[in-house]
Amino acid sequence: MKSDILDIFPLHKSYPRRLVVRDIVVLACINQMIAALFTLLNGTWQINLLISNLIGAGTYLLVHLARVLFRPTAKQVPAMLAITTVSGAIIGETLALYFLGFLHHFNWNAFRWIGLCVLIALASSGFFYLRMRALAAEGAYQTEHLQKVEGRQQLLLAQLKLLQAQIEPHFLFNTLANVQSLIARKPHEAEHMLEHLIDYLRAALSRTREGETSLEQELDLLRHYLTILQIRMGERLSYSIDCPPELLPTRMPPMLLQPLVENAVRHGLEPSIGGGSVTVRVRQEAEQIKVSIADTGLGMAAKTSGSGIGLDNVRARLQTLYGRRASLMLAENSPQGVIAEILLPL
Amino acid sequence: MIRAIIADDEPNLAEYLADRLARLWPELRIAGLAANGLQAVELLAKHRPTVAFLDIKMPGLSGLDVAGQAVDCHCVFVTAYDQFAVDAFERQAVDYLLKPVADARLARTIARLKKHIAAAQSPADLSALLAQLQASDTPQEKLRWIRASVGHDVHLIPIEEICYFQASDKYTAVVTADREHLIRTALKDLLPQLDEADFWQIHRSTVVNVHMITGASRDFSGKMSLTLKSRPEKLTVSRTFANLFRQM
Repeated sequence: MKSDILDIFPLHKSYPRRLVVRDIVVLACINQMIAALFTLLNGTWQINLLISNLIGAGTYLLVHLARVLFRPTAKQVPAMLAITTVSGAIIGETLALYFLGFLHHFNWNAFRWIGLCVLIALASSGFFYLRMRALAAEGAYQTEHLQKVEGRQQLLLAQLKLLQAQIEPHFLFNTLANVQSLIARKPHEAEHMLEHLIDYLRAALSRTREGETSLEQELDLLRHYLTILQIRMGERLSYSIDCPPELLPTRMPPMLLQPLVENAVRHGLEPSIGGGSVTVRVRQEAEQIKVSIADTGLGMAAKTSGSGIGLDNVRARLQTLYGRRASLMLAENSPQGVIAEILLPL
Repeated sequence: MIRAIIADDEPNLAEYLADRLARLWPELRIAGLAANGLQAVELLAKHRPTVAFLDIKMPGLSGLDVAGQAVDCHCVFVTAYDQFAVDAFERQAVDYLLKPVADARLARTIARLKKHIAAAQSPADLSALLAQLQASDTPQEKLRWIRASVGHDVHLIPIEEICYFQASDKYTAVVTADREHLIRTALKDLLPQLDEADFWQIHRSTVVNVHMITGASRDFSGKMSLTLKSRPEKLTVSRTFANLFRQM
């Protein structure tokens, strides 16, 4: 409500002349209409005309007097308006009675109508004010609610993207297709593959929430992944994971190694007709842990586009978490393939 | 006798599809199973099948490439997940199957194939589809890695990490935040392989990674130089190339 009033009557700011002109015109119309109304109800038109215009003009003048004298802020305008309109009405009425020579017949009866009008005005103002408040509150609530929903949506989207990145759809659907194909002919193998898939998914999904994991758990994840792929690719994939036992409990961020292994298989070995091997090796070097993931696949063609994203992600995370203390390096493997090396501070 | 071949790099899946086809389409004779694109082409030539079930992602040639070489053969593509390809298939009304393949879906495909064959309809022209898919499949012509020797190793440097290239005789210095590598490729040969949005030539012998620039300044003689992220040195911009920076 406040903003509505201030849009029409910007009493908290300087009042432009054209608005004054507008006000006078509107006021004049209203006053004469009120006079006409009262004439229909009772009294002579001259008296009503005088009273109505005096009250109207007087109130208007009082409002602007208050505006100039007190310079109300936006918040104070409604209060100011309330006071000045009521006082203006009373003063205006009194003046009118004075000019009409009715003052010595003075009784409060004359103010009956004013009182009635004021009461109606107060009631409706109160009603509209409360309604505005309710709407504003609802608006604020809805905005907040929307923000919360959006925020949650964004969070979910981020988590979903992370999940999609972690559980590559090709991998998932191909593995399921394999399980399906084995059920009738080699049910034990089907069970076997399904178990590994379940373990892999459980491990991969839980990583989206945890901030940290152990090297042992990460290597387990890799083991599940590579086992599944080995069953699927048969002779075209062999792998080994080599880690000194004392390094197994090392804490590290999750899902740093999996993208590298995934790359090695997807871009290095799967497109290779003869396939190859993946070797994961963990060593301690001074105050750092070095994890190297080597494949004997096709290697990085200088213009391959797809492989970049997973690696960019790993690189970005390393940068954020460790700055210069960690690194990801890629080199050509001999006779062919790629070696990816992650260095992490202990 | 209608002949078909199946190509899938995973033997389990190829065999399984063969089993199901035997069940749902007994009149179909599976002439061979291919484990990669090259074998698939061989089988196509040897058996001249009427139908070919082709996995898209295969070593050697992709299913799409194989289909391009098929003559008088109805090709059905099989994929685990490839929204882009699936959209293209839908648009071109090309038959495809999603792995894991549901029986109902396979039955529908078989019905459609039977109808086409009975009507002696020639196989759908895949040239439009192939052009569309293969065009996007072609890796971008722009470099993503630079191969540089470091001692006995050959390192692969992602293009995003390179701050600038500096020509020096027949070699080019590849400068990253930490170090400098020398590669045998001349700058002028590198330039067409670099993405113009990311790399600008600022001097006859210097190409800078735009994302590494933190500021540009002019000295009293009007010569412009650039400051870089994570490198102490400044790079000079020659007058010829200076108009690139007018908007800065």
